[in-house]
Amino acid sequence: MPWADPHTWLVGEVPTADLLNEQIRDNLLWLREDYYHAEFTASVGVTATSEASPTTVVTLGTQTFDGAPVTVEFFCIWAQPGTGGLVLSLWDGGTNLGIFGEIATTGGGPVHLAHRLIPTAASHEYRVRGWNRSGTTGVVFAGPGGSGQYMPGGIRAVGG
Amino acid sequence: MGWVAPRTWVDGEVITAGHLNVQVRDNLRALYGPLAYAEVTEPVPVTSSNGGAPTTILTAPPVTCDGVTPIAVEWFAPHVSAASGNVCMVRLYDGQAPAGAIAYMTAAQIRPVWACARLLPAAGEHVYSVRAWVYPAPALVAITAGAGGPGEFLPSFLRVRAR
Repeated sequence: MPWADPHTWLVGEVPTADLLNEQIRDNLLWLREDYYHAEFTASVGVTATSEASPTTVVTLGTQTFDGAPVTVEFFCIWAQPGTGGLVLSLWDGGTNLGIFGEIATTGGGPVHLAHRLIPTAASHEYRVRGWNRSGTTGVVFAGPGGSGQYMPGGIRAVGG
Repeated sequence: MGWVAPRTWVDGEVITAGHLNVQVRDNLRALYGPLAYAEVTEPVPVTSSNGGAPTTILTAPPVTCDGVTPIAVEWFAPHVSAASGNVCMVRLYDGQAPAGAIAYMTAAQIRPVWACARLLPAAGEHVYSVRAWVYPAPALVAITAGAGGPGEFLPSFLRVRAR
């Protein structure tokens, strides 16, 4: 269920079951959980060298949004650039929303990115895509978790 | 409206519109959205090398706290760079009082930074800001942010949340 704008209650109003379910049950469940999330459990070699045709790292899939603000977050245990910067961009379908983060530190490190936006009330497919400022391949590391394995990387959309 | 301590309901109590608006509507809004949010859409050079007078990166709108409910203050920047030989310290402020360092960049690092502090502020109004300085040479560390779009960085933001 999508987020329902909190209702202003009136004196004398009789709260219906439908209204209580929407306002309390469904909104609390919505707050308890991620809006949408997706993981990737294998490392992604970022071979692209062009911002216009980047390597897709992870997609949230096509999801329906209701026009309320959300924060899109991305996490990976380790992103390692090649000899130049490894750039991660946030895309909405075929639209490049901008550079989400850039890692140019030798050896790289864990990455947590966040961007707050207000999607239109429609379907959107948020994706994190990477490209290299030089010709050397960068890597976004992830795994299935467990002994000796990397934890998954992921993308999620949460309210607010 | 900010977060209000959840009410303990008693048998026979008449639930008023006022109760529902504070306990349900306003608390849902507080949980849903940030209590305060600010963003910057252009690079911020860190020109200060003085920890006593750091460069302000972002200041969030005031938030009113109840003294018993923790909050989370988050700062994100898509690109922070420290030139060789420099270090950069980013500190969280509550008004004019330092609340503590939330990020530290050593020489030759270029990476996104997401930092978070969980706080239990005293009851009253609080204005949070993040400020930075670089040592030993100023202006060689930049907090890079933009308005988004091809070739442009997304914003850096400072956010106060109730959860």
